[in-house]
Amino acid sequence: MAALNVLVSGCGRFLRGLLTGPTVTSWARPPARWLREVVEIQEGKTTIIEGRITGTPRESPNPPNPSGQCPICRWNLKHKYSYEDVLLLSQFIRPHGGMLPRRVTGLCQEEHRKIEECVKMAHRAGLLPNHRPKLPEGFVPKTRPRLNRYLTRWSPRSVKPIYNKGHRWNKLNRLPEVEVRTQLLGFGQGQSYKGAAGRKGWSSPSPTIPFLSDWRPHGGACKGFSQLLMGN
Amino acid sequence: MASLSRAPQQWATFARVWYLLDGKMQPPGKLAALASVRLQGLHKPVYHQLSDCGDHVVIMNTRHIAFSGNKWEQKVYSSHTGYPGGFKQVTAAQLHRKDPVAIVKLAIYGMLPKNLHRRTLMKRLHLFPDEDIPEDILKNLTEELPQPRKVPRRLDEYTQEEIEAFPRVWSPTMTVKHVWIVLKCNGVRSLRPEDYRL
Repeated sequence: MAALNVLVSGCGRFLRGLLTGPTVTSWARPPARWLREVVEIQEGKTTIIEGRITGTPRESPNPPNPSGQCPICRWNLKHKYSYEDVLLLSQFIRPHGGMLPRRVTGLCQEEHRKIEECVKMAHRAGLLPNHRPKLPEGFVPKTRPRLNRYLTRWSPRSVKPIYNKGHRWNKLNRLPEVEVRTQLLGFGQGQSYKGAAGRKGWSSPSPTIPFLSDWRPHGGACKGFSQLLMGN
Repeated sequence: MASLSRAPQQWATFARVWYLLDGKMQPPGKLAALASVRLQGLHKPVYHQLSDCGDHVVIMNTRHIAFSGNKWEQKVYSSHTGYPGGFKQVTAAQLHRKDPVAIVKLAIYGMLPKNLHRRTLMKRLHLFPDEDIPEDILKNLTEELPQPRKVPRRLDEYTQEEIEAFPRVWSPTMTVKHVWIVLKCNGVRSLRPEDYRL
């Protein structure tokens, strides 16, 4: 604390960079903290709000790669998981389905984004039925017939119908699952017409986000990690 | 197994077989590929285009098919009534709501050869939106085909032992809240206990 005060009393702008949110890779992992549950007790005119230490889930011992910075690297899961590995994804979500913050889970930025996308796809595929958002008291939702879907990268509400798939010289981009196989071979389908490449079409990963160009959420191309572990 | 004589062997080879296919959580295109192969008879070594060697295919649970990606919203089925102004375009979701059998039917229709046999082969295809199939068709069924897509397990379908056997991958870390250094003459703010939070 004293050392920190000494640092802080110096010139501020330089130290702002030092003190604000250091990246995960630059310092050793800090000691973990216990999880507490908030308990409110009313004793007459006194209210006691107490944080009692509850059973904190600990990381399982002996990860295969202890020198890794994020959990995915430590357990050698770098390109091994998919939207169907619900056992892995459910460790990073809140009870109502939201993601936990990165500074709590310790994931690196790209893996956090990948897990977030996989969690969204798992929710849309209906693989996390008990992590639904909480509805207000006494509210009975109208059960509309739900359409089954899987590998849904983009939100269904954000997408418009494709009324015009284009003529022979001006076809749309092909579907992302087929794109996976062509991307594995080379890069792109060798479209010589600029018009074909320029047309926005079937929902596919945006090439502007760097990590997405080499990560494919292929549900079926490789067996999900959880399934492999369970011996399926 | 005793060998059959000529007439019974021929009868057994060319008999028409009834296949059952469950469409629950399956992509309709893959169902259609399997069904069209069986309808034409391409799965038989004795196939010939003129020998009418196709089989019957019964597909159930067509109401519960699953499209990958956003095809429910993006895929458009077009048709024209023949009258002016009669060009209709419907999304897959709308078509499915109107007729739960239509998507699989159109998919198979498009995969069959584009000749006069197509209509007869479509007559040998039987589609049902749910599990209830009429008695007389149930009696004819011989084999159930395996589903083309492996349906992933939901979280509540895993047993408690499997959930516990899966290793826990992370434990909570401690972080320091973003600290603003106020550049004022009367001093700077130091870290307080409430800055340390989970």
